[in-house]
Amino acid sequence: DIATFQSILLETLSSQDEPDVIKATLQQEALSPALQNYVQTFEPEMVEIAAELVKKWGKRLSKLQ
Amino acid sequence: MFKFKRRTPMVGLSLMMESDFFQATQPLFETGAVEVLEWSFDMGWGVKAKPPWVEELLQFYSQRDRLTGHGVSYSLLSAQPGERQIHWLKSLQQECLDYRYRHISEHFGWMAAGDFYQSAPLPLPLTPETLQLGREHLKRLSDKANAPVGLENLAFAFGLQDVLQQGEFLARLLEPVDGFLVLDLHNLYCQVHNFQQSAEQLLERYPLQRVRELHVSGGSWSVTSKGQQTRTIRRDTHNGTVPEAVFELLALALKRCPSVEVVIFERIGHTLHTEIDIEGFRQDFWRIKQVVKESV
Repeated sequence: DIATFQSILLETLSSQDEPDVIKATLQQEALSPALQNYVQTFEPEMVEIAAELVKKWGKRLSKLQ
Repeated sequence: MFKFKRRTPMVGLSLMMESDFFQATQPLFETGAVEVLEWSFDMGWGVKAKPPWVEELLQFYSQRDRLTGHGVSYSLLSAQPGERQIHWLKSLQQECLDYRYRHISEHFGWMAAGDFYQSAPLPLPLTPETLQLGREHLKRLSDKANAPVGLENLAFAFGLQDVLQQGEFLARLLEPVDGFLVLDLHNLYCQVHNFQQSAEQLLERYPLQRVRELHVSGGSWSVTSKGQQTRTIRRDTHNGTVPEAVFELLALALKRCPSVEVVIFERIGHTLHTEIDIEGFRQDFWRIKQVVKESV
């Protein structure tokens, strides 16, 4: 579902740097056809920026406790 | 056919809590040049005490019905918002009792999921499921705000599909609550540059009749390289002067959007240290006022 996709996307962006690896990781998941098609539209340069932003601004609940 | 002459939109600033921001803007506030103030209220929720001058400005503009609220962390399209959203909406309800807001806006997209309670604003594709969850979450916001609610277009896009879908997605999200669009012109410029789009054609994909507020800001460039190929990406960092292309977009948007009430100039704190920074910032502000004045 969308919630799981969002969680996997943030986990992947926060732990990986290479756009190709990030896309491949997402495409290995059992995404719905709509989300599978969506991931295929991701441009490598923009994935790189998203990974940079999530690493910079990401804050985890588990780090609060 | 009869018609009224359009009222001149009010021009104002997005309020920042940093002292360099106050130093740069104080003369503008003291001369009455700032006609409206925007406050990202959820930036103040985690702060023990706002600087006294921030509180004074909020009270001054609130009492005169010249304060607009602009949340940054609601995460509208988070599929499982849980307790986080309940807490956010309770805080918003209290905020609207503390200050009188002309309207409340938030951002298109999402930034929280799973273990992350905060990250960067990201898009989602337009599907029946994403539209439904966005509408539900916007309705919840509308129920608590006790004021008109709106959404701002997002600068970041993973690909061209995000760019081409966002206008329709926003139109369909806003329709059930009769919400307004905050059209951020620098965000639009980022997508125009990064995805080689025509500014005029991309603008027309948005529900322009719903635009009640415009945002104007500067940003920065970053260069990505892969092998021998390099690509320059426009970033929405709010830390530089306003590009010429954004002033052109402002003039165009004022022509194409019949219901604009407010134009807000955004610049983050900690970026106004030198005389050149401050002078550039003030020149941009006065130029925005001039473009707005000439549009009526």
